[in-house]
Amino acid sequence: MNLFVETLGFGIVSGCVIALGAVGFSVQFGISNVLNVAYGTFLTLAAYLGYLLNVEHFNQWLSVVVVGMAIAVLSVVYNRLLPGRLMRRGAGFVTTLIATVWAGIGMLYVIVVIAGPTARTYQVDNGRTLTFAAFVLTTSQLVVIGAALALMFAYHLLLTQTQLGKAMRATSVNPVVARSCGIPVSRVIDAAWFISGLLCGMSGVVLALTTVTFGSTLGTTFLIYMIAAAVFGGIGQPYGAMVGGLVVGLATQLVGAYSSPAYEDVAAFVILTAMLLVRPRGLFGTAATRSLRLAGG
Amino acid sequence: MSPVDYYVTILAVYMGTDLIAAWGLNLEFGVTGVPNLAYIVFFACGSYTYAVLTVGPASQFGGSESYIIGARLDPAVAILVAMVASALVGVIIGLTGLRRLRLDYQALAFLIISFIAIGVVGADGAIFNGLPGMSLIPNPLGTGKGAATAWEYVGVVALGCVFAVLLVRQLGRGPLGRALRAIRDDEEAASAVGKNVLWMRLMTQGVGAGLAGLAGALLAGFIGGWSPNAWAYTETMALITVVMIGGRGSIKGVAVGTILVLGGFLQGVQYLPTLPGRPGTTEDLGWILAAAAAIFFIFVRPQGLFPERRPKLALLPARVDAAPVSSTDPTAEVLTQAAGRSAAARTDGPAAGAVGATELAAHHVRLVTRRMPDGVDAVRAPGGPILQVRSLVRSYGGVRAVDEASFSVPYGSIVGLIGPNGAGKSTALGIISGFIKPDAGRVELDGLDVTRLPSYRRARIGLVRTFQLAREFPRLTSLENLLVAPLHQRGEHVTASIVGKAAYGAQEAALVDRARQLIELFGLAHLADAPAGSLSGGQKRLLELMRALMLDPKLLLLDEPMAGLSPAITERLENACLALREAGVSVLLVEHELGSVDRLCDNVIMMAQGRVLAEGAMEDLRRSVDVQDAYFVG
Amino acid sequence: MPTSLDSAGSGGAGPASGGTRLRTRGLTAGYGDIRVIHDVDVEVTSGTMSVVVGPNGAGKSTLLKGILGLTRVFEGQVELNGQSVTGKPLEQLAKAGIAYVPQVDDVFDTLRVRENLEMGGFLLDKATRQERIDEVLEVFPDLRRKTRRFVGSMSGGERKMTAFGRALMLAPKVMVLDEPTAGLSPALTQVVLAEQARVLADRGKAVLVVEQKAKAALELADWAYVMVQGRVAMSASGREVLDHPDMAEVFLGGGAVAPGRATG
Repeated sequence: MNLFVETLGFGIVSGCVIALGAVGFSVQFGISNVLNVAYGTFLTLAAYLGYLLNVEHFNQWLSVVVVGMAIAVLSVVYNRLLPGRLMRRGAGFVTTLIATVWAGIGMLYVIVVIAGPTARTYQVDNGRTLTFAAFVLTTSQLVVIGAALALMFAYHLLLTQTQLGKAMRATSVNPVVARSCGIPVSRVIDAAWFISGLLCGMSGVVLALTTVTFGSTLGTTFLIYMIAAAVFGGIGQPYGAMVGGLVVGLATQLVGAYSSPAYEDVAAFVILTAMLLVRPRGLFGTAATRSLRLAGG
Repeated sequence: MSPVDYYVTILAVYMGTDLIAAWGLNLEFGVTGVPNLAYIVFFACGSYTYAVLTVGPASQFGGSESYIIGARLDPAVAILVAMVASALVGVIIGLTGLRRLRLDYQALAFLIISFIAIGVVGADGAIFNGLPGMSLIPNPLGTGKGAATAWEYVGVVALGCVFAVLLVRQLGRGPLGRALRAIRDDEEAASAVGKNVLWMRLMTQGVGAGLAGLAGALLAGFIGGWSPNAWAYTETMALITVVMIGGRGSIKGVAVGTILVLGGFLQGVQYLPTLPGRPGTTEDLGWILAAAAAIFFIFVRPQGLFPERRPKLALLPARVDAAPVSSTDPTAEVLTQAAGRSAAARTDGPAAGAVGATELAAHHVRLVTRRMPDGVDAVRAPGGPILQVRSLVRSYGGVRAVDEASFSVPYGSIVGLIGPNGAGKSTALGIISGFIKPDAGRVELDGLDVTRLPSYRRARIGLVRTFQLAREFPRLTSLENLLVAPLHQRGEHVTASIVGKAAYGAQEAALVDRARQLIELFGLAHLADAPAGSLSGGQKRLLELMRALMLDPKLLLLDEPMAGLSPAITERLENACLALREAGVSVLLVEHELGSVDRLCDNVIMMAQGRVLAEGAMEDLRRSVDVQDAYFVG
Repeated sequence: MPTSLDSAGSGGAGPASGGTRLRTRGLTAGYGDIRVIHDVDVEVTSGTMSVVVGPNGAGKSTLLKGILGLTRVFEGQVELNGQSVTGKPLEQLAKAGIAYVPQVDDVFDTLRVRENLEMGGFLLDKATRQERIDEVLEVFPDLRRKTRRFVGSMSGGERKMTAFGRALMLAPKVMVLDEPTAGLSPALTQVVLAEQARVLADRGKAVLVVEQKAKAALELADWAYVMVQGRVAMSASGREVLDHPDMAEVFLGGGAVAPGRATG
């Protein structure tokens, strides 16, 4: 029972972080209709940038925000240079995907060349250990959960209370009418990539904080969890990604605890494939969601 | 063994096995359009199977040569089994429903399979021996790592290459290659002309995986070791990029791409600077350059170095015994009169091109009555209707698009299906052709219940449709578009394809002749060898009709063929329909151009709001108040 | 009660009297290389409702798309008050005062009614936007109690109202409506055309409507264009077209009013 509760705790923490990243990934698909596989490399980059700050004894929470901003800017530039440009030129979906995979590989190896092969370890200040009921969590973990929930809520507020957020939703669902309202669609797209980049960067640093020691594979591993979460909840649906994140986080931790850590990946993969086979639009996707099926189905 | 020998033989073996794999992947991705980003898994599967079958039982020292089977099979046998095992895995993965997804989703799913598979294998101790992998795998040519053995091994790999290139060449040529490319260009349209898409995809995935397995087995035998780390998803990316850079679908292109890119990579990596104190960065730098090169190519030359070239069939000499169209043919006279009658029915002057109609008509009688062995005799006493539709129902989100619609098409007639927008005509057409599943109701073709039959099967028994937005196969030539359609092409079977022209040559030549005559009659002979994607909208419409005709249909479903066409092309299409009727082909014409409907149709069915509102001759319908209301009021 | 939604001029006033004129001159447009409409001249001015009717496939939708720069224009011009706006992007047309309500996909399904309206008024400052929303809700009182509902879950008529409301937010001078009654019941058709489109014209807007339900639209139109096979076969007042004896024939493809076949 203890193992279960302990795993549950980890699962929630993990789920929160995966949820954050999944929302970012989902937003990129929602706004630009592209599956950006390079997202994983951005996660890794965030972790390393955070490490640089960590070595200088920068406040760990502040570094989450700072690195988040950096990745946000990079994401906007990246979209304008690669996926956005390719889609505008009429490149097919598969070609664009392959291009993002290569972009991810290229950028990753640049990081590897610069940073070298040794794993990095963060100096993490975990704070005190607190106990409620059967849960044992450190302050640090609580901050992660709290911050993730706060960010989700903030994102929800953005989407529902601000003109920008509504414009993002509008552009996602009907770009033609959005244009006829005078909405500056390309700037809205930039904003969406900025926000998703921010979420990506923040979750990257937090991932590093939770795993403490990481290498260049951090991003790729967690990307799979985030994709599974995004697809589970409905790709392009931010609330779906949040729920999906928790589901994937809990499922992988439980599988890892009760069988073997190696099968965590498999658990995520099973969730992903099952959803794709049974209900490709995801839990919260509507029939109007961007079509994932071949035309005419 | 001299360092040069050592170096060259390693290079040759790596490139040779990569060539085999690249050709296999080209068949899957370049020719058939399957975005298999998990290809490396099959490569690994081949290596592993070979290793497991050839490595001996546990040695007294334990370590990484201790295995479950310890079969110590003959290497040749092991290689074969490895190929079969990989092919099986390829087919199994292909059987999952993932193929119904949008292509980039499929690609992503494959990519993740690739990633997970290696992770799982690397973690498992029992079957796969985890990360350390296997070692001391016996070399197929026996022990002794002398120079002679190494060069002999290059010879073995070269044999493998020859096998691979011959196999993919034979499969990629002729009717089968054409059908696969049609699937790549437009899977649904391929299904609409009767191709069994699932079977063909599985076949290519099996062959592609089998070749990867061969490459993997050969490589494992040479290196003598196997480790999961060598099979990262990046390896598939490299192969995919080779296919894209070399030229998708082009065997020569892929070969050049492999040699240049992978050879260049392996070679060039040596010349990259090694950062001080950082061994092993040369490979990393290599990947960075590879990524840059790949992205560069995607932007600058997406079609690859050697874009696929399609055969110029129109330039082949015509067969000596092809019968010319004769105007003293008695059937032709009947048809001239029929064409003349319909011309007189029009109010705006004599029909230009009535002579063309005669030739077209006579030609069609000949073509259509020359049916394939198990086809239906065109001249048959009219009995029941060719098509009977009973109480069709189909709803979308609570709204009944088709609401208990029933109608029939008598044998050998042209029936029009008209109605305002939203009347349910397109949905009805989709149900009849098998692309939309009805909520209730029956569709009967010539007395046979086809309601549950998949669309490609309906095409095969003579129920053929065209699409509203012309769906040609853009990267095939016009002639090839026509040649994809006919049923029972021997060349589409794997064995016949491998044997080559000897097996299907005669039939193919006859089909080519038939297609050329048809394309000439429709006035598009000058575009016979042009890629169909370059044709104008009206020309594509004609092409699609011709393609449907190549299927010897019993019942032709035309989906708004006259929309937006010039009067000249409209006339040609109308004449073609009339000629078809005279030859015994039935037509259901969904159309808004009511002038055409008037000229062509024996009976007209009008639908509104999902139901059949009225039926009769166009003149009568015009005068009916209900019909007027429906159109005028909407 | 005049509001900022009303436009200057009424009863067919052109630019000279402060009104607005949108017109096409010799417009030939289509898709890819297929020309669907040929040499079309239509016009709409402030305070009038001009309808374009005709059998299916006549090119009515293509005409609208050509005006709005959503499809290829081969020849001819689109002019707003004498200035060419041919091929200009939708955003610019919106700022110039032309509002578009497409036939399908006319709203933001995943947004609430109020949010749809807010998006319509994206270019406005907050205060004006709030005022406009109130005005729009006066025009469509049915929406008042439903502003928090997601449009995707609403009925056809309500969605159309929201679409109209969204288009009205920028107080456009010209409204271009593509088959606004598509998929609606006869009762709702009346509501949309008589109580919404017509009223907008009466309030001074230039309303150009493409309609398949010809009879209903013609009864309310000031001016009508009958399109057949991509050309304007008849241009007359709504009443004249309605009373024309061969109108049913025209629609069902018969002779008298069909345009002559051009060569080639």
